[in-house]
Amino acid sequence: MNDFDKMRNYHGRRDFLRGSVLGLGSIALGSLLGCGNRTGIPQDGASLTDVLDENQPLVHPHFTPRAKRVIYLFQSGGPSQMELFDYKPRLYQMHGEEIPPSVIGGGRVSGMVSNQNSFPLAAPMTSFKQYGSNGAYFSDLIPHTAGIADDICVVRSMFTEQINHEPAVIFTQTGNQLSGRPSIGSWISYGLGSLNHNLPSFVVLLSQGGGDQPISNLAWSNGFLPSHHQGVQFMSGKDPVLYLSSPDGVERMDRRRALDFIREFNLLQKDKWQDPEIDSRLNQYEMAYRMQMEVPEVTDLSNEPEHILEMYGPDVKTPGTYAYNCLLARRLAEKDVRFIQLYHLGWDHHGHLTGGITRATKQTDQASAALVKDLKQRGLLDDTLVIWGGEFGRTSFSQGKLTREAFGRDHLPNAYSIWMAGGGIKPGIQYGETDDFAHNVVNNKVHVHDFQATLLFLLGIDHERFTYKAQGRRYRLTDVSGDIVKPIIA
Amino acid sequence: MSSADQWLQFFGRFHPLVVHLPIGFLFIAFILELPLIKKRLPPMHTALVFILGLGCVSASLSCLLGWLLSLHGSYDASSLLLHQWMGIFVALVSGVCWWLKKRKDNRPGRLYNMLLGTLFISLMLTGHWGGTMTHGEDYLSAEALFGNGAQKNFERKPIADINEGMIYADVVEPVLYEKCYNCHSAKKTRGGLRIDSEKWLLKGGKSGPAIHPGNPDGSELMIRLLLPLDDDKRMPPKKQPQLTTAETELLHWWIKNGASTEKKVKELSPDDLHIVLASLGETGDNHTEEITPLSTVFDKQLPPADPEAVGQLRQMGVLVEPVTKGSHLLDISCVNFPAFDDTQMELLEKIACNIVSLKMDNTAITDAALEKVRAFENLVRLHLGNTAITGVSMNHLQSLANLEYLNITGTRVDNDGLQELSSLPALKQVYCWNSLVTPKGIVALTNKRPVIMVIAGSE
Repeated sequence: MNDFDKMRNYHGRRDFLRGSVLGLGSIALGSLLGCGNRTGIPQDGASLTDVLDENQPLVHPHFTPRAKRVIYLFQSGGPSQMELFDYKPRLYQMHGEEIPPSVIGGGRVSGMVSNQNSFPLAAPMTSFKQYGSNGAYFSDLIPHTAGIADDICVVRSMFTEQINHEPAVIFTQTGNQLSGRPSIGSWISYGLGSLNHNLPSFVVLLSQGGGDQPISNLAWSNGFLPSHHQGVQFMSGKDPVLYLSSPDGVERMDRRRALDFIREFNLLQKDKWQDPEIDSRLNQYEMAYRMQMEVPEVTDLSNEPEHILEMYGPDVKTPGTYAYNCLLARRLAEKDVRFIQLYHLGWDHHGHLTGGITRATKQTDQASAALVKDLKQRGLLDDTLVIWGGEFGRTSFSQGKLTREAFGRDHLPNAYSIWMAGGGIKPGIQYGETDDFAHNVVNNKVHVHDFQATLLFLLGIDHERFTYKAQGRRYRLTDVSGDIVKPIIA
Repeated sequence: MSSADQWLQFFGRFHPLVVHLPIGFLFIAFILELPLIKKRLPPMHTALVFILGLGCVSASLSCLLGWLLSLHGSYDASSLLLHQWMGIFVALVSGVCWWLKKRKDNRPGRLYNMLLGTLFISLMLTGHWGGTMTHGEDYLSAEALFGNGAQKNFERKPIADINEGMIYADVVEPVLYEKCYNCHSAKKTRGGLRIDSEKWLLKGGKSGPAIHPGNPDGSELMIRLLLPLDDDKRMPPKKQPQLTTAETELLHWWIKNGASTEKKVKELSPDDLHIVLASLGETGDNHTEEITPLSTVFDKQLPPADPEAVGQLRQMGVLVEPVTKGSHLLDISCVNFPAFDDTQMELLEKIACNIVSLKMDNTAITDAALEKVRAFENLVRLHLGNTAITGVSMNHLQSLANLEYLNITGTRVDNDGLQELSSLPALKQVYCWNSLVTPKGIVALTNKRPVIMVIAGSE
């Protein structure tokens, strides 16, 4: 019987019998094994069909979580590891020399440098100093991040499988290079649910003024998961969530009555079609109604004291900037939003890297560090995992002609750096090592799936057991691989 | 395998259990017949006949089960033969002893005494060979017990000249030796598999050849290494030391490149060299490294919390969630219910010992609420940020033996209140930004208890 027939015969005799027998049987077995719901209180809406559907959210983690929520500061475009975290003194000495062919080996280069005959190494545009109690190197471009050296764990040995932006972003965010799978935030929202009834569990903040490289909203898509798990984008400006506020003249009571009325219609349709997306739609209406109260309060930064605004830097007063979004992220974290995803564009420096990276770091450095400090002083960093990172790294050789003022760097999947803080991550350490040219990882490689497995672990989820069956196959965020990076876990 | 076969195999597996019966029976018969013992005890001819009879029957049964077991187990043929015939010999001799004892009334002859002695010795030897087959040859050797026997012949000695090093002998074999030889070499051949030489690797065991040179993904050895830890077929099995990622990569590379035992390190290309050298390093041991455990509270098995109280709290909008699936430890948050006040503490009191994390930030509670917190013996995290509590209430926390995290940011807790915390045995973090606590108070506390980290903000 295919799914369509099944729907038509939803209350068919055989289904009923099978449902009753299996359902009762499993309930009986469940109570025998003592694995009924722990509190002894029936959960709302649990029915026999739920018992038979294997796609049930986890609700409660597999093991004790170290982090309750995540703030993912996504730096889209591919920040250069040699200009920020991965100090390579040899690059300064070998400036202008060809990169040794053995370093590139058989690795692939992007189409953008494929007609380039010469690959001269480019010295990083900035110098490095040591910071923190472990004397870790940070570049002069990110003094504020260097200032929180003792609170963060820099992973310098990330690598990915993708060399172009879209597939690499999608790979990092969904575990697969082709779009269509759920984003990390959607997985978490689906798996663990919301901590705050009045706000969505997955919020997306896109900062403006970064660059012209686009980012597709497929990066925060729910994929095959129910659609109320997709990232809710908060916009800058008067209306943070589009079409959320009631039009002039519509009172909250009117809105409630309208919603109740629409709900009745939807339930009629649900009875007829049994489409689970109708549930999603109902959820979203109700969420929007509750958000009408909560969102204006969360997004109103007017009561933030001046010294807090100063921490985040001057940009914080301009809605839509990265700094503004960092502050908003903190406010959302305080309200226990599970997954807060920021995207900052403008890290794609193929040419004129010097100017580009100076601008990008000016826009992001202070606010990123301020966010960590602010979370820490409020006691939130302890169970909030903060991640800073992009989709890949950049080459140590120049893309295009190398001059002292103007050089560029191309995409590099083999090695890049990210940092993480709080939420069960060991503070103040540097993990992994690359070769002298920051081109290949030589020690403690961390694949994107390893990173994702670790993220899920910190939230108390076993990435191998967390699956969703769609189109006849069980899917995981980490696909079929991924090892937890235990040495960076506190 | 037919189902009859499976049944036979099933019964065969009782051999190690049943085998202890004849050992016990015949041993006690031997002791009772020792002149020194016999003199001091009343005559017990009947009992001895009975004991010897039981010994004979159970020994015969053991032989039968042992034979069934040998059909399916994979044991070293020569040890097996010896053990098998010794076992049969024991069964026979015990039968003869029983017959002699029964017939000769209370005056056993010399033959009986001799046979009983022989029986005792063969019993011990049979047992020993049986043990050797199950536990391995070096299980009882003096070397294994008193020397570092396992390390003796196969230390990873430093390679004097890395270029002259042999890839198999110096790099690959030490990995196999350390992680596989215990069960798959001359001393033991589990699953019919030995891998202590190239010949054996190619010959393989019950599941076919262990490796197909050139095709690592089709090689049983690699497949077994990469199965999930929980899989029955996974090698090394779950509780045994696992290969590091680098070592697994090394074996993969070695098989892919023809599994040669002749190549030297200097013949490698730079890319290959990297894989080989990585496996010699110490790092990257992802499987065996343990993560620092969390508070022992999380391992506690507690009775379920009062469902009525939980229901009432949920009704109000308080989040009451188990910490993990199936746990009775509760994580409580008032983030959706800021109106929570002192009167509702009674509900929490009813489920006091189940609460491990309590988040009451921004609620309407006052100092009075914390008097009730006394009983929260399993509390690990307590959030009181931006509430009306003051330093006076801090001494109510004294009895919280498991409290590790305390958040009093934005409260009116002062230096005196902070000092009350010095006696909390498990306390690790105190967040007191925006409270009345001053650096002086923090220094006083951390001088007394340096393990407590007091975080007062970045300014």
